[in-house]
Parts: sequence; C-alpha cells; structure tokens
Amino acid sequence: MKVSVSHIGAIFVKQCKDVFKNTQVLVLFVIYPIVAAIMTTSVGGQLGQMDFFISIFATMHAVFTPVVVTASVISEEKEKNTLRVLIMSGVRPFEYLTGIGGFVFFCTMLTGSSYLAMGSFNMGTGAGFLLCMGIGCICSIVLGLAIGGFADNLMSANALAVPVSMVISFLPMIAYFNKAIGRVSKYIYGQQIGNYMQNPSGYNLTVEIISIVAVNFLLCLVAFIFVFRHNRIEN
Amino acid sequence: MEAIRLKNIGKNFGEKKVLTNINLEIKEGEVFGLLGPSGAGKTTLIKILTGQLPATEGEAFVFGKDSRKLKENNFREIGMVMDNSGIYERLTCYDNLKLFVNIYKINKKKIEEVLSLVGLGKEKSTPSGKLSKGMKQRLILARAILHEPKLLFLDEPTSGLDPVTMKSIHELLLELKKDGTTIFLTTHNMEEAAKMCNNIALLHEGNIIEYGRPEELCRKYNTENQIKIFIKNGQIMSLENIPDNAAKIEQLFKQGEVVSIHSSEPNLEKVFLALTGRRLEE
Repeated sequence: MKVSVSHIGAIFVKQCKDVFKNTQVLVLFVIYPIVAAIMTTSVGGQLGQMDFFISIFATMHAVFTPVVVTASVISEEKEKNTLRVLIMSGVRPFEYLTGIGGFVFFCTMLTGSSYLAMGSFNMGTGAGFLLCMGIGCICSIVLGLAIGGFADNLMSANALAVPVSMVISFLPMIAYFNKAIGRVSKYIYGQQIGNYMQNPSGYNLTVEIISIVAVNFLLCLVAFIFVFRHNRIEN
Repeated sequence: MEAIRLKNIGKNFGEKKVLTNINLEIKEGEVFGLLGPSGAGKTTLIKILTGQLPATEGEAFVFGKDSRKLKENNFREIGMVMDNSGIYERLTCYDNLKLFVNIYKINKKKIEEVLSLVGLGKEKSTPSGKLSKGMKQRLILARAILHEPKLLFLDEPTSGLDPVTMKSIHELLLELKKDGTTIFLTTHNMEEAAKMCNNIALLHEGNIIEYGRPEELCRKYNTENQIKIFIKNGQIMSLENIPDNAAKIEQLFKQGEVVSIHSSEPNLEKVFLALTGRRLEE
C-alpha cells in the first residue's frame, strides 16, 4: 500500500487549524491538566500525597480525551460530508486516520507533558510517565476511531464515546477507594495506566500487565477493523 | 475519446429499482446534462460514476477506467460539486482550499486565483460557516476546479441560489467549457441545461427516456408547429408553420408590422411534461 506522507501532513495541519476554532475539543485537551494543577496546588498536600491528583487526572487525560476527541472528529467529518470529499480527492482512509490519530496523539502528549511540571518526577519516572501516557493514548485513539467510524453523526458518537471512555478512565479512581472494583478493573488498560501514574517510582512491570495492555489494544484494533470493514469509513 | 461510458447500468436499493439499463457515452470536452425531477436517480448515477456506490448491474467507465477501481491519480482528474457541501465551516475560505492544495500538491498561488475567479477574493479570510448559501456554493465550486480537473461532476450546482449567483456560476462554467473541461451536470433547471449543455438526457423513474441536443429535442417535440408573430398593434398572430403561410408572413414584413417572430417549439420543461406527465421541478 502506497502511503502519501503529504496527505497525512495536510490532514494533520488542517486539524491543528480547526482545533483552535473548536472550543469543545480544545477544552478537552486542556481541562484535565488545568484541574490537576488547581487541585494539586490547593489541596494536594493535605492528602499527604502531592501527586494524587496528577495520577487521577493524567489517567483521565490519557484515556478519556483521545477517545472522545477522535470519535468526535471522525463522526463530524462524516456528518458534514467532508470525509467523503477528502476520500474523493484521493486521500486514502489509512492516510486520513493516521493524520487524525497523529493529531490527537500530538495534542494529548503536548498538553499531557504539563503534568511533569506539576509532579515530583525525575528523568526516569518522567520518561516512564510519558511512555505510559503514550500507550494509553494510542489504545484510546484506536477505540475512538472505532466509535467514530461506527457512529453516523457527532451526537451519536459522543453518546457512545463519553460513557465508554468514562468507564475506562474513571475505574482507576473508583478502584483506588474500592478494592473489589480493582480486581475487575485491572483487566482494563485504563486501570493499568492509572496504576503506573499513581506510583511511577515503585512500579513493577510484569508480563501480566504487558499482556493486559496488549490484549486491550488488540481488542480496540479488532473493534476498529470490524467497524471499518462493515461500515466502510468513507461511506 | 470518451470521458464517460455507461453500459447497462442498473441500481437497486433493496427491492427498489433506482436506475434501469442506463447507457451513455460522453465525449471529452462535452457538457452533458442529466435532467430529472428529485428522486429520479441523478445523484445515484454520479455516485456510481465516482466509485462511491457500486452498480447492481452494468459497467461504468471514467476515462476508460472502471469506476469501481478509481485510484488517487484518477481522482486528480475529477472535480465534484455534490448536493451537500463538505466544507470545513470553522476554517476560512483560504484554509479550506489550502488543505486541497496540499493534497493535490499544487502551487498555493492557485488559491487566490480560484477565489477571485469565483468572486470570493475579498472573503478569503472569512470562516466558511459565515458565508451565504450562494457564496458557499461558489467556494465548493472553487474547491472542485482548484486542481484543474478534466472532468467535473456538478450535482444541482445552482439549486436554491438567487439569479445573480446562478448567473455568475453559469458564466464560470461556460469559461470551463471553453477551456475543454468535460462537465457532467445534473439539474432540474431546464434553462440551465439548455444554456450550458451540448447534450442532455431526461431521466424519469430511473430510465433515460430521451437523449440528444437540447434544441433538437425541442424541435422533435414541436407538436404545435406554429409560428407566433408579434405585430405592432400589440396583437399576437399565430400561424401554422406551412409553406402556404409564407406569403402572409412576407406581406406583414413588407408592411413593417412585425415586431418579432417566434417559433412554438416547447422548452425542455414542456418536453419532459409531454413525455412523463410530470414537471421537472416536482
């Protein structure tokens, strides 16, 4: 398959311009870092753990935001017929999806890197934090692509993407207080991302954790391929 | 060479037959009009030709290439104005076109050139969502012609537009026609078809019921065979178009009584009505 980097670049640049005029999406990229900064500086110390809010909101940032943004962007393009126009201009679905996925990844990581300034990270834990956020972001982008491809319009995409991503991103927070939920939620990648975010320095990476994240990614990918084949993203 | 060839095209949506046995050949540089009322199957045929929909039966070729197998380089030769906009409403007119300049890898100077051509030169920094319907339609047309396609599909390009915008779009299309662009136009505006098209086809319930040059079709269905003469006292004289009336007409001319003389050929609307019992705009 021949892939045009310039097509991917054109989609990426278009999306960057668009996001600055799309407040709803722009807010999603900045809301969690802002809330985390406010909470950490105002009440973080009282809980005896300065990075508590960083771990909670960074997990939501890495898991919730990419699903919702990716699904919204794709479903809006389908609804407004711009996706069809792009495909009819010779942009391949793979190029389009890579452009959108690349944009969401870039923005999530860019705004997500602000957590490093808020928390007590050293070089190693900081790099691990970003890697962990990147892995969560990629899983979520693929899930967002599947939801966006499945939904017919922006409203139905949000109706599906918000509850799905809330389950994945809120579970670590709930599991923090309820160990019973933690026993189930550990099989969801959001929980594994959250576990690392809560304790980056003392984190012990096991084969089980790698397998859980890999299986989660594959499930997201299968969902995306299923939707793509049966729904044909350009139709 | 043929730009478009359709062989026995049929399309069903479930049990419903939308197109039946469509055969057409459109030469390069030709402006072809597909006329029919709403729901006749015009958009479906464009979608089949551009590979957006598979035909249930038959074959469609665009520049000799099977429409189901059109690739990136084939799409470069095609421009499209479809019934629903497909423009990025938050982006400016300039940025909307810049995206496609980057996709087609053409010079950015072309953006200003095309915006001026469609009369949107002053609106280049305006978000396209704030444009009027006519301006949006012109922006869509600008995007369609940006890469100088050899073949342009126009699906109801002037539908719902005011006469001034319609006229400016017609002028632009006539310019493209002069430059040799093949145009496939669907419309239910018979004046537009008569003005623009080399050949037209009348589509009714998925079938092509008549095909030919607009003026030939009008002549063919001239059942009245009358000549109307507007004379100076305000009267309209209606005469049968037969040799016996030549002397009478000559006499009126000699007396200087004739203001204007008209044939009674029907327009395309009347031809369609005569053939189907339906009006084109229904």
